Amino acid sequence: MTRTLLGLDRLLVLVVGLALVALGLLAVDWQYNLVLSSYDQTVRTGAAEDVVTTAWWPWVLAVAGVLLGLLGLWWLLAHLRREASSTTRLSASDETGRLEVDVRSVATAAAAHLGTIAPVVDPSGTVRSYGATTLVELRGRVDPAADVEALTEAVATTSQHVAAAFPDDRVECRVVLDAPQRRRRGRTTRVRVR
Amino acid sequence: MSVSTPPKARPAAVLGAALIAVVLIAVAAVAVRELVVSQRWASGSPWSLDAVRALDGLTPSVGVAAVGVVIALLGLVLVWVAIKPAARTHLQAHADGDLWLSAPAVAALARGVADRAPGVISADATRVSRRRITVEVVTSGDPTAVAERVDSALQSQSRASPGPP
Repeated sequence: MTRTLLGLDRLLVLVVGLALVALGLLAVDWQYNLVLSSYDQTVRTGAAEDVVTTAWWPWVLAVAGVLLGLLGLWWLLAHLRREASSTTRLSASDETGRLEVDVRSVATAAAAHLGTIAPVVDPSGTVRSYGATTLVELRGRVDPAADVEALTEAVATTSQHVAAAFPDDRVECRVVLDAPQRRRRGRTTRVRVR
Repeated sequence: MSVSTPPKARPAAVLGAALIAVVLIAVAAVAVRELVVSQRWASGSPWSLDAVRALDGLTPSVGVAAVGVVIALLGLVLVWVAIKPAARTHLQAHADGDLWLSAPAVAALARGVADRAPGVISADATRVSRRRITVEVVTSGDPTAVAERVDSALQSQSRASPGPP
């Protein structure tokens, strides 16, 4: 999910929220005349009924509704899309050719390597962009029996490997660890011995 | 340049926007239903006409004001959701690499360190927060001496933990 999409999310929710606040306060003020007092005392929907009963109204409503529905569907799917290209250009590129690396592959390999040298289970790697800097983010769960020093040494080693692969400092490595999965209570393994 | 943005949870605004998107899809379904019913492709009465007729003759009342209060409160919730910053999910460790641990992960490490300390029968992290983790241990020996050993073990291993154990 990109920062632009997150900004649009916030804007959309803010606009809808402010609209609802305005509508709600209008309904309250209609009853108590706290701010304005020039409201009509009765709602007349005769003109709206004339429109709703025309032959073209259902078609216009359907087209507008489908467009809104497609917008909503696109909005939902936009959150599932991966961030744009995960490739980064190496400093060795020149006029004779470009050298680009798929950083997502590097992240996957680095995560697998971290899983072998560190007390980390379920390692996975992803890529995030922060301006001109690409972040290789490795995630996993700490082993319950992990030795803290072994963990930090393995993280430092993995970070050094990633840094060595990209000496121009445009690709950084981060390790984010969560708690081990809890064992479900009440589930026991039964062994029958004959 | 070092990435200084800490790991964060998905902002609540994403969920709010997703709900609004679902509402838009529901609006599309209702609009298509209106067309289907109006063209007599299916039986039923058009909801838009019913809604317009239901609103005709509406006058201000306490009930309308109450509905307005509910709508305004819902709007305030959405405004709060829109501006609420994303929560930080992990704590940065004092390590050579860029290492971040969730509070439960730190608790699991602390529990493991305490469990391996001499004299400890079992250990469990009972209270876990971003600022403090409480590890309770069961011991067969002198509780004070074991507590000191556990504390010593935690201190020696706390170089990678984000805060004091």
